[in-house]
Amino acid sequence: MPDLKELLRPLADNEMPDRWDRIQRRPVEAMEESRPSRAGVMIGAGLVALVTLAVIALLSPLSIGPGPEPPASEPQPPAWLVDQAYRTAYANGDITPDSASWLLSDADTIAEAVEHQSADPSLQEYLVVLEGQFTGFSARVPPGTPFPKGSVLTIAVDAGTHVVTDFGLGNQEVDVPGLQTFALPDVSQTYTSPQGWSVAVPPGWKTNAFSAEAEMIANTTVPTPSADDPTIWQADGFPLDGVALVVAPAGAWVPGDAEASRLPLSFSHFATLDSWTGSGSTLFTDLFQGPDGQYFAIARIGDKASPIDRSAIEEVVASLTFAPGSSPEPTTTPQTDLPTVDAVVDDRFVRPVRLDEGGLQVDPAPEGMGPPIPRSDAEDELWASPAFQGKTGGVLGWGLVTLTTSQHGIETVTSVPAWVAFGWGGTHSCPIMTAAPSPANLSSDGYVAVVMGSTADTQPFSYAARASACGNPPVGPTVQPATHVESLAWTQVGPVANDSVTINFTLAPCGSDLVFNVPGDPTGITLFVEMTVPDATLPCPSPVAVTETLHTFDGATQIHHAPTGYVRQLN
Amino acid sequence: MDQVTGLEAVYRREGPAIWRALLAFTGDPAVAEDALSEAFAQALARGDALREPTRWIWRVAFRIGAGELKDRRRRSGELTVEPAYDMPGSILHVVEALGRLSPNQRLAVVLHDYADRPVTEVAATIGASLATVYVHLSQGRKRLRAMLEEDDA
Repeated sequence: MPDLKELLRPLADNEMPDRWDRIQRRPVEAMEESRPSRAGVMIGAGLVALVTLAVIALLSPLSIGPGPEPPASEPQPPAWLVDQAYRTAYANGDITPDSASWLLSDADTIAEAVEHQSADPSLQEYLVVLEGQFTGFSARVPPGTPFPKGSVLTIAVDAGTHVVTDFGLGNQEVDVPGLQTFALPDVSQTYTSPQGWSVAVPPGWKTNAFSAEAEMIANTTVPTPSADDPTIWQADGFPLDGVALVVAPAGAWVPGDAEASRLPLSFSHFATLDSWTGSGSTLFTDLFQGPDGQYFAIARIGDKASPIDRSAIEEVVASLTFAPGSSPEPTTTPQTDLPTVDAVVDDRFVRPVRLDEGGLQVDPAPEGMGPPIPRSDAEDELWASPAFQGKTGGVLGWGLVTLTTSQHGIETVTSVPAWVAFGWGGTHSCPIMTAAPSPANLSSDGYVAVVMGSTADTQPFSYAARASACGNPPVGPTVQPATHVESLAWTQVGPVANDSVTINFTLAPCGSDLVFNVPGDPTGITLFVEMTVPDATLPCPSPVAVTETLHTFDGATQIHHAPTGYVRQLN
Repeated sequence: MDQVTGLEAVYRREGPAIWRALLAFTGDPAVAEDALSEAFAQALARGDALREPTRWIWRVAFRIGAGELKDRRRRSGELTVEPAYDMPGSILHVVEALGRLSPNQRLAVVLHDYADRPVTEVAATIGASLATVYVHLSQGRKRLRAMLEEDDA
């Protein structure tokens, strides 16, 4: 997705007209605040496809929350019609339509209004009009022809038999006097798990809690994965038309070097884990960060799954979320003022966090005080700090920073707005000891932070909390100018010969700690040339060009270039 | 600080950002200006009753803007939003592509991806759950990307 802020940057050149004086004199009318306006008058429908509705399995029992309360004064459609409307939306590829409206009238009136074929004029029919992004998956189209699409979907339903008598998909609004909006259950048809995550549930799909923590959502009955390891699926018994998603805490199954996605998830980021010929299905997975740890989202899709279900699973994945401040079990989140992942919501610190009992403190910024640079820019630089090397957990957010220690030219600050990244975890590498060290009572031990203030006079700094490593006396805290690791561009000089290669590159201005990193296998290796560079803009000597000859692996013939730029230290 | 002075401070501080986001959402400077003015006028009328005026004004301004677009659609029969002639030329194709998203997709993408408003606030504006907003965001981004790539081709 292109950066919308960047695309719309020219809007910033337009100056808002100052209307404050007029606003104060502006007459004010009563305004409805509680819900969106109803559809109102509309214009005739254009129908592009007549299709039959798919028959969909009955809804399974779910722990579904209540929907929005309808206003008492407005008549509401019968529950079966609401369900019918939601199933129709789902069958046509949109489980979250923008709006829905309904009308009860005679068949002639409805047929005339929406250009449907008229049924028996004495029949009472319901007209349902849905607005969204629909695809007529059930339309009969020649092979190779795309399914029809439209933003307005209409169905007429016999009020007595509940049979759908007509269907239309088009792009023009529908104008029928008396049409009333109603709430589709997409708002309430959200399944919330005991772990605190929730997803939009398409109609007819089932949930199955197959272990204390792992749960599955599927379009039909599918084999249950192993409760011990939810990544293990009985692929052989998976229905060809089945679609299922498992969400489970990663726990012991998380790969050590895996980087967790952030919510919301995109199915396009899921990795294909397996696709065995003959198994009849394919497994996709992603690892994501929840408020209390990492989770797996694992999808299996049968080879003959319908396009409706394939479309729906992508929307289910996209809808996966945790309620703000949610936590699976209160007992698992101890009361602490140390930084944790749930201290940040929507990129802002929502509670004060402290290291060293206030040596470094971050408080929530007032509403309306936003960062001058976007998170994406800040996090690239912050997570590239060598301070995070070896750390296993971290969180980044916007808040007000107070620093009470002054070292290495970094001055104390009070309530400075800043992007702040915290890291924790990892292990110390200690020499062999004959006796276990006495643990020092340092709650912040192992925590680090890097702070990028928003004011010009606030130099970026890193903060390592007071720590007691390997039984040694406590040291710190340590405050110093922040740095980051950059991967430099290089060019190869001549071929690889005698297990060595010569390269040219230019040292980073003010850079230090030059490192050559040559991981890889004998057939094709990737060469990293990295330097540690100050975050702050400093006067630096002119760049220096360097030629270096490096040893390669036995037999390596090709040297690939590593990505250049920031090198993320915390996975 | 009295209530009027406080709201004026919000207008000076937040107004330009809300106005630009409304501009991206509606494609029309007149609609953006009117929605912003109406939201602040409504806030002034409520006096001290608003606990979080900034959040309230963002939400109300976008609801007013969305309502105005809906009225226009009723009158014109067109479901898409055409950018006004006086929009900057370099972004016309972006605003036009945004205008072809569904109202909720456009609202989610503009509020979250352009204006940096949190998802919880987008949910309150649309009147939907977080899960639903994430679907709108996902679909809106996908469609916007496809349309912009078509434009580039």
